[in-house]
Amino acid sequence: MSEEFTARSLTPEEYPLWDALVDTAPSGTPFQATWWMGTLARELKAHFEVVGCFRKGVLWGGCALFGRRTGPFCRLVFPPSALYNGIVVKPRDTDSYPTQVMHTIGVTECLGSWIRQHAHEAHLTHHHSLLDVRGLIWQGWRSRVRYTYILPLGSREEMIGRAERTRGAMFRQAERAGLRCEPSDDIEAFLPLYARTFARHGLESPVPLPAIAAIYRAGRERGAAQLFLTRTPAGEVVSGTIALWTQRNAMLWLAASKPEWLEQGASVFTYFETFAHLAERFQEVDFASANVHSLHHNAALLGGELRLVARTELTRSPALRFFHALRHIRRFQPEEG
Amino acid sequence: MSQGEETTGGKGYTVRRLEPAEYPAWDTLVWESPAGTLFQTSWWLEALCRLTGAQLEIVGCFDKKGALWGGCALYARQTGPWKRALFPPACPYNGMAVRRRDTPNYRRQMVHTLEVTEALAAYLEEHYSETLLAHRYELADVRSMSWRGWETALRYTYEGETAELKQLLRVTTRTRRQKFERAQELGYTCQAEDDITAFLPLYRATYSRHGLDTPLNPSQVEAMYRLARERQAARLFITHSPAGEPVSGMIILMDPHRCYTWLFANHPAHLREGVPTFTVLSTIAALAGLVRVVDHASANFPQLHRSVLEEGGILKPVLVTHHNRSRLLQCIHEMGFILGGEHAR
Repeated sequence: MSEEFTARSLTPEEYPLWDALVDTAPSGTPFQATWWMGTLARELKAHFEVVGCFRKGVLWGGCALFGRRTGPFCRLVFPPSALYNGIVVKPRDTDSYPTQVMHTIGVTECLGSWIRQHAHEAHLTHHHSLLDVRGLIWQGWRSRVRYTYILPLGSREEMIGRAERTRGAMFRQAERAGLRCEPSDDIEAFLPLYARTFARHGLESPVPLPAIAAIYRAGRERGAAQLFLTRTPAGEVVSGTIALWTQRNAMLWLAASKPEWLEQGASVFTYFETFAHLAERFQEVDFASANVHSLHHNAALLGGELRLVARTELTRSPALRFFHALRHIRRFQPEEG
Repeated sequence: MSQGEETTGGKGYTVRRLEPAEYPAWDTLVWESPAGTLFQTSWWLEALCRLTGAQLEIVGCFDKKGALWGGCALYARQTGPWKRALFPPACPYNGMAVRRRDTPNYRRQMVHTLEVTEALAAYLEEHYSETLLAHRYELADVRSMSWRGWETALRYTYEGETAELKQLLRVTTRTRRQKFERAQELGYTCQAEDDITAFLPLYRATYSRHGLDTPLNPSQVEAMYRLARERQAARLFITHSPAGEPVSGMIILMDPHRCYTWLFANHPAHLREGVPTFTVLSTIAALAGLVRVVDHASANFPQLHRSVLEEGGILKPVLVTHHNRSRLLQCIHEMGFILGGEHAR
């Protein structure tokens, strides 16, 4: 099957074709669109490239690659702050399940083979709708199991009804306090909240703040991003979220709140208000957060449903494999004795 | 640690090895757990361990009132200084079984699974140098293990539903339908039989044709089949040529949840006549009314998966978890990874 497909790097002139595929394919996410990854790569001075998989001149799939050079090695790493960077496959227009499965295998196998030839190392996290990564595994890629939380969208009442009772109570508390959450373009008001959220946990933001602003503005230009800000009756910004989307998939990208407003429900309020806005266009939102022990609880309490996510990794160079193995062994904590 | 020693989890769960007298309670739990399979029952694994020189160890997770909520039936082997819980040969699953809580609340069910699997994982880390588990997709949440440092990997199986032959032929691909019809026209017949000795030469020849060792030797297959037959958990289907020669066979194992195509073998001289497809579809049709779901396996082999897919299989994930407590074992695995690549890890 894979003989029928050919893969090659796309030229910038072909990016609109790629973006159209990302926008409509079930496995496409905003993080694979050129506006998102191109902006990130430019801001972080990383290499950005899109590889496309064609058959008879039709683009059937591809992968947006975020590269870093480490010495002699070309490493395709996971882009910071992305939720997904995996392969996008355009489904075939067929009711035949075997045909669809073989098509997915053919596309992923072709792309996996191209990446294998062009990179020493690659890390791809595929959208939860692309769980069949056998086309990669059979070529020697390693798979890992990851997760995400999906929240079914509906009216505020429906969503609050699905959430844990305490979350509903927090929402009402924030409402009583007079908080208001609205779409906004004031990214500068969000960034300090975001920086403080990371600082509170003793962490640095995975992406510098100017890069977040640049990505957000690029997303707004494309009509694929929206910032939501929650303000007190006095007009103080206390919480915010940034949602991104394609035609098919909505994602909650970033969220931040002032810690002193957490107990008054500002964060929960902002989430539900964001979801209510997204419900006008989408049936569900990808909330992520399922892989981090300290974060998953919140997503589950809001009514998140767990989905499997496939992650695939390839390390072609024995030297790189040696370094990874060394790190693996050093990280390892024996408990024998 | 001796058999009686316990590990108490953070949420009040206690994990310990079960005594043989408790095995009936374990077997009941396997049926009550959506992810439970025949391969995790005490009778199956006990016999398999006896035949292959391994040791059966079943660990159970109990709440404060002594109720059994989950567990794991382990195929244990001593390798030098290491006690290893490995994949049992010819078994697609050996993962954890967790009894669901009686609640419609999604989150509570999820938290319950996380707590039980975490308590079990902690026990396994403490008592085994290495543990390898393959979980059915009904136990899709293995985060409590990955959060504790277990490695995870994604594997697959094909699952389908039994149906009458007419329906099966309608959903299969045209090529498979033609193969079936060709075998039928040539006069091949497939039926349930009990003559395991007719199957064994086919089994041996199939593996040898692919240059592979059989996961179980023929006498072990025979013993396991007879045991499962006694428990009415196995069926053998044999296809005969028009001359009456056995040319294809399939052993089906059954449990209250579903059935499994355990072993499948074919005479190479009859492959072109469509005999494998004829045997598979005839067998699935014969099971209609007895069981609804068939786990076909075979999804992880590029050379095997396509026929199962075209015969009506729907892809499902299988989750593999692996924990390693010994630094030396870890080094050995990593050395394999450095030299052999991703597959070796």
